[in-house]
Amino acid sequence: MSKWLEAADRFEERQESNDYFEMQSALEAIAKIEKLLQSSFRQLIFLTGEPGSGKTFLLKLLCTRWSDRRHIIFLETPFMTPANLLHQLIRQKGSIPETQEIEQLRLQATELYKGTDHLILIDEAQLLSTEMREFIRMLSDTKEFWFLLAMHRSEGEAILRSPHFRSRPHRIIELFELTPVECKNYLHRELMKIDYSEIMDEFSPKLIAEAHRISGGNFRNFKKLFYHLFHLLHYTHIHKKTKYLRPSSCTVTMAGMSAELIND
Amino acid sequence: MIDNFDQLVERCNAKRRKYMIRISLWISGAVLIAVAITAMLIQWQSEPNLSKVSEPISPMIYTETTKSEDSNARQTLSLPPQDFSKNRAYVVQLTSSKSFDDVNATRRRLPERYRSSLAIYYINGFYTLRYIDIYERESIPQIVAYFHAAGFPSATVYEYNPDRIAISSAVKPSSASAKTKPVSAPVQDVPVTITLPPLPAQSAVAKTIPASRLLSVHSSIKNTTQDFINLYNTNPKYETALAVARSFYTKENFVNAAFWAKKANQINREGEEAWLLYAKSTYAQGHTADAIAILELYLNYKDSKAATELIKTWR
Repeated sequence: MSKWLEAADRFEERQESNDYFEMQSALEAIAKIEKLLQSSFRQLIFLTGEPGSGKTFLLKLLCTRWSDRRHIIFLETPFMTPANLLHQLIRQKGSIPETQEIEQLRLQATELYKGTDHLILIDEAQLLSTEMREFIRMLSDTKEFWFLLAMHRSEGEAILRSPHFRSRPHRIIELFELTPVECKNYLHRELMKIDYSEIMDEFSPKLIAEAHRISGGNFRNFKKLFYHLFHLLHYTHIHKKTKYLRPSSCTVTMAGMSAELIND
Repeated sequence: MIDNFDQLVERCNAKRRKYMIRISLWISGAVLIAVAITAMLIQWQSEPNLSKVSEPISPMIYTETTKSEDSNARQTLSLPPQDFSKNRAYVVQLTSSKSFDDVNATRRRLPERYRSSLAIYYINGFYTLRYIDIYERESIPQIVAYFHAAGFPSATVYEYNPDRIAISSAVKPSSASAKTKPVSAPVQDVPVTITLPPLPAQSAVAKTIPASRLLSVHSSIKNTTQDFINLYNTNPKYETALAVARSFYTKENFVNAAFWAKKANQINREGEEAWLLYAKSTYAQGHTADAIAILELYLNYKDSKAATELIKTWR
């Protein structure tokens, strides 16, 4: 495998928490969540950010990091009913649901989680049905559950503006875009992992800035851009396209077009 | 993975071309805007804001108005606007000189917004600057007041004469063409009766006059000087005062000659002989510049061959 392909492989979309790049806004988010969990006042926590900003990565990181100190329940698919949720919560505690009655299940779950260190993570929470959102809010009102709901910024803002949530205590933690410096550091870190850090010299600050602009500072788009760039460079080497052998403004633009990040 | 490389290259080049065109347009636009702003600034600096048309422009007028606290007075220090729907009726003669450059320089000294109303004529061997856009008699006092304040104390009013042909204000006529410049047949200007400025005060100091400065004054009056003075005291007339002046001039008493010529002038501002005699008496006292100034003042009011000839001789 050529070095370019090896580099491209590093930037392939994957969901491994050990690959997580701790950008500044994510570190701040983790610190805020940790501080909230230390308080006795249990309330809903919302993690908002643009698609591809690293919310899912962050949730998985929390699962890995905090699994030894608190019970983490990670619900990746938001398509569920109140009964499904309560069943999952009860089973996560090693118990068996005693009844099919929602209210009885709720009491059983509340009893199980009362006073315990736990955190229930729900990804893509903007896709929760109105009924589910209302049910989660009701569970949170018991002050016995810690919920962390990750959702897209625009949809999340609309949900949080609804009267049910606006009038309830909750905290919003936002994930922001990568800065150009974080883009550079991330690129460097990934290339170091395949002992290819010497090509970092070819990524001038201007080129990094252009890549940042094309990707919009979005973590997923940035990875996608470089995935396509390294594939492109692999192609130009194989086919002896001498004008396009190195990272340049032109090849970065072409990679952006290939990744459909640039519209003509 | 990359199966459309050539297409990517083409798209990339097209995008770069678009980018370059956009940059060029931005630069061109910025340059155009900069040029427009510069031109506007230059124009703004060279010409005062028309919205402040009543504000005086020339330093002399400005001084006048800053001294005045009366806002109504300020309003008078401007000229009525041009009105092409009306016919020109009067002109104000501001200055005249043998030098076209001097007259043209005077014209340029006036605010630019009035320059299209200022014309230079070649009259009796003199380049003459006139303000020509006067349509109504009622506006004459305001216009004359403006030009007095602007440094033209001898501004005089004539009826507008369409037969007079103006010299292009921007182009100095060649010496050959200047002489033929009047083009049309001799044209007489009709003066408009307005109150003329008083003659300059005469020095009372008598001097010994050199013989070369004596000019002949023809007098047909046989009476003695005192007779004329007595006659004047009982019945003050222009002719009587002039006769006294002639008498004193003949006796080489130029101070009294000037005094009586001025008296005659006060009775009849248009009497040419009184002007000439007053100028000659002044000249005879050694005040050449003053004498020429008197005649120029008169020439501003009325064309006079005799006055022109005298100025030529004294210069």
